[in-house]
Amino acid sequence: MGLYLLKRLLLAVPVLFGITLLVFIALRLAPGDPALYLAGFDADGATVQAIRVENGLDKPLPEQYVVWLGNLAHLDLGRSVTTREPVARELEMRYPITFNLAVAATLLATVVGVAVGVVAARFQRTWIDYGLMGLAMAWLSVPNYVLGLLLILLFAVTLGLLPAVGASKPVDYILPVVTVAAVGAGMLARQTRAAMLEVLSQDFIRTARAKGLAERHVLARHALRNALIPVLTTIGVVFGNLMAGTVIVESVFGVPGIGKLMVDRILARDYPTVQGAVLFIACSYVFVNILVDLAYVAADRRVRLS
Amino acid sequence: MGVLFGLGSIAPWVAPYDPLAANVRIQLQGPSAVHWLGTDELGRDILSRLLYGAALSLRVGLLAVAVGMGVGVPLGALSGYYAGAFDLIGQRLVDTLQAFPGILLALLVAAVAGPRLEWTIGVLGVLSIPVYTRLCRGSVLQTKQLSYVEAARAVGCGEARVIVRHVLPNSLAPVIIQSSIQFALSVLLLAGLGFLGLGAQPPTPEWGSMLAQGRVYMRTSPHMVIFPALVISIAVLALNLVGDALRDALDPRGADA
Repeated sequence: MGLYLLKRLLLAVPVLFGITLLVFIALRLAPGDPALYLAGFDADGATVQAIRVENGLDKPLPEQYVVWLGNLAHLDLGRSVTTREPVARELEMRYPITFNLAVAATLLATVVGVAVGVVAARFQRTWIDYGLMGLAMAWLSVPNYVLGLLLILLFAVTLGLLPAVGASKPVDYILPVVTVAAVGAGMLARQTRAAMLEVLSQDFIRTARAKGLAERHVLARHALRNALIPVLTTIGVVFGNLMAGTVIVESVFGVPGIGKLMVDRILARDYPTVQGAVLFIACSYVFVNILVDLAYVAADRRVRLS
Repeated sequence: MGVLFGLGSIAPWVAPYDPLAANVRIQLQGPSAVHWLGTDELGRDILSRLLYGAALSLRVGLLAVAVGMGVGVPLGALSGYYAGAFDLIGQRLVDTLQAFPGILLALLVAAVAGPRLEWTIGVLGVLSIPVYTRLCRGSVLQTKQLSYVEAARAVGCGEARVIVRHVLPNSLAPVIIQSSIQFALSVLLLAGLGFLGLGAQPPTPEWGSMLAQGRVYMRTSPHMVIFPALVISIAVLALNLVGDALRDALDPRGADA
């Protein structure tokens, strides 16, 4: 296990370097002089030159990259061009919102998805199964920003039950969480159903039924437990996707998380902040995926650690 | 779906109105006999705009799939066939790209290059490279060990000929299935970018940006949101169903899953 963890972490190193390089190059290719952005457009030539030297922007690109990486290691992501705040601080303030949204949505998706999957497997090839799987397919297919708008239209505009935008009261989070959870619930429902069907066809289930266990016990104690192993991976994938998937939804509902920060700053051409936000989300994505792999190994002793 | 994109491909002939023709005297009308799906804030016909939007999505989706396949398939084939150092480097590159959530790369490029459709297509294509490479590599690894490939080599076929004529054609089935899914993902992402104002720019009729405009008038004219929302959802649902059906048809093991 320890060895596997080490190997998995080592494999992540080139990936993380790749990500930093990609982000660095992308933003250096941006049109316009970064020194001019830092100085402000009305600055005179001497000031711009001073800022260029001060920030090391007169050095060759590879050297700039190394310096930038060094700063990154100290969590120094530079300052926002719009607010003049350190980017790291802005991210620190915003990430709990995105994180909580993703956690709440993952929980909701898991509960709904697993329940739907189990019920569909229990009633395989009946209209209940077809109905539920149709629903899961619909959840998977409706893009989250479309679902978000339709939910706003129904619950906020037409029925007036829930707020359309905002992020101050807990009730504000109901629609965003439901919206973000939908895709995951659809994925999990399909995955759970498939896993349950596979387990239900095995001998030990026949044994359990033969010794007279109630179907409910067979499903909950024998089948679901074994079916959950592949489902666990999907839960992790869902969570990883949600960290990135909230980007658009946050803008729909005006939730001030990292995603909204990024979209707002793209429109404002605030490159350091965009850079920081992209790096942050991409790295969380990588780490969540490592955690998923570890959880998978821990849950299923049969997985060979080669 | 066929109907949707079929209509999209002949949009210029079937659309009842010019998708760009504004007429403020009939702005924000609900659905009627004259304008079946109503009009938007500038009095443009929503049905016509949706049809032209379908044409745009179709074009962008196909181009993105072409870019992804064009780079991903050769890369995967070479990786699988030659293995070794080339494979190792190729796979790490693919890992990096795959570790990057798609929407982030699209946003990053939009941030840097400005919202330009050509760039968007490029990004959508690049995003699907890892999937194609993985798939193609996997199936080439299997195919290259089959005896007829050995036979081809034995009768003196060159490496290139073996790969292109013998290995590739027998490794392409999963790649083709995947294309329907990649097409759906591209259409989805294009609409998402359009919605954020980072994809196709107004006045281009594009589903996502129509949705974003409709959002502003949601209280008074819900039809401006509902129709684009329906079209996007139906398009992606249909593509997912096609993908599922193809997978079931070509992979008997997964028939019940």
